[in-house]
Amino acid sequence: MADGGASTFIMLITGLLISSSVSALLITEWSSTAKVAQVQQRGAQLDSELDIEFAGDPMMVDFDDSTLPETITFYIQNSGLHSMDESKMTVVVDGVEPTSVSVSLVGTPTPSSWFPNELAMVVVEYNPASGYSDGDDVALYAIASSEVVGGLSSSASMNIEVRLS
Amino acid sequence: MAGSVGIGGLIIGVSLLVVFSMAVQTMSYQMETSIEVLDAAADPLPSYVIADASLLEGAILTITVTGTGLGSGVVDGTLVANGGVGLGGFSASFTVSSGEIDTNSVVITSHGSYSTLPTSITVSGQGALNPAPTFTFTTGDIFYANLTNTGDMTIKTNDVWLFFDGESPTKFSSVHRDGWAQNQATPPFASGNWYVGETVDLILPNPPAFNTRFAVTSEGFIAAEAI
Repeated sequence: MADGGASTFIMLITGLLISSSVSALLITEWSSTAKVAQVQQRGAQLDSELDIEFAGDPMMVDFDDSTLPETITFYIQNSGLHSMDESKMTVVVDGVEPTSVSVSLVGTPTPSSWFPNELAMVVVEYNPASGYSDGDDVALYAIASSEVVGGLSSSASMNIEVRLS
Repeated sequence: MAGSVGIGGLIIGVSLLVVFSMAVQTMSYQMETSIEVLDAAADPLPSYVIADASLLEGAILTITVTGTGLGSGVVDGTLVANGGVGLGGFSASFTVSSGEIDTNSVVITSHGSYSTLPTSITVSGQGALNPAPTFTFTTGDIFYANLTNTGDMTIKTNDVWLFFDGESPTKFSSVHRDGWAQNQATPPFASGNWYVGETVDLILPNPPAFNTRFAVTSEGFIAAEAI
């Protein structure tokens, strides 16, 4: 009887140790899972806090075809809550990538980064000629990456149809 | 037997506590993120209208009193621009202190618009004054616009950009000043808050070169007006 009691006690203690270990493992794994989910949700949150928008007069977007390369000049406002990286911008006009794109920040003094509400001037160049002329309507699309925020980075885009002038 | 039941109960209790703590932790993470996302999504967008916008070319921008007319019998009055051709419309007033024109009292009430600029500005309707008060003036273009915040949020003028013929982006807060119409001296910058329903006057001497359209942009909202 005493032997039976001792073995039962040993089994119970073993069971308790195992269940404790499993519990600790579960807690650790679940914490990791929850943190991963949180990072994903923070990524979604960062997405919602990034935005860029066309700025200016969509009826009068500067188009210069007097010399090659032809240029289209327009402005984009960082309308999100975080700084964007103007050097990581891709621009497409009517679904086609132009010859080259240069981006600079607007302001005096020139901002050190593309902060929220600041403007970036985008100059799209075509060489050879684009085939556009004043009065043409074109679709502008731009996508830019954000600076790294809390270890995360995401992107924002804009598209609009404008008239060249 | 009683011991094993107790231990079993302890195990079940610990397990329930573990499940509970996991659920609480997850809920905490979820709520924290959800609230932040909701806060971000709840930001309203600006909305405004340009009530009117006009560009006056050949306007009288400033006047300096160079001869005060002390002893001439001059009294409080108005000024007239002479020799100008065009729409005209210049008007200004002044006051007299101790028998001479107060040099800080000249208020331009309308800058006028002239294709051929006036050649002189004199006191109006007080006959031949001796010594005659004298004035010098500067001319240039001046741009007027009235903007009304029609949205449901206070707009920071630092977030608003002005465009002239689609170019020359100018931050609203850098040119929005108080009281141009009341005082020719450069007034201080106006409040950076543009409140709901508030109509603000933009008076911009020597604006960027343009002649067709004026546009105001903020966070993707665009209002434009032909000049």
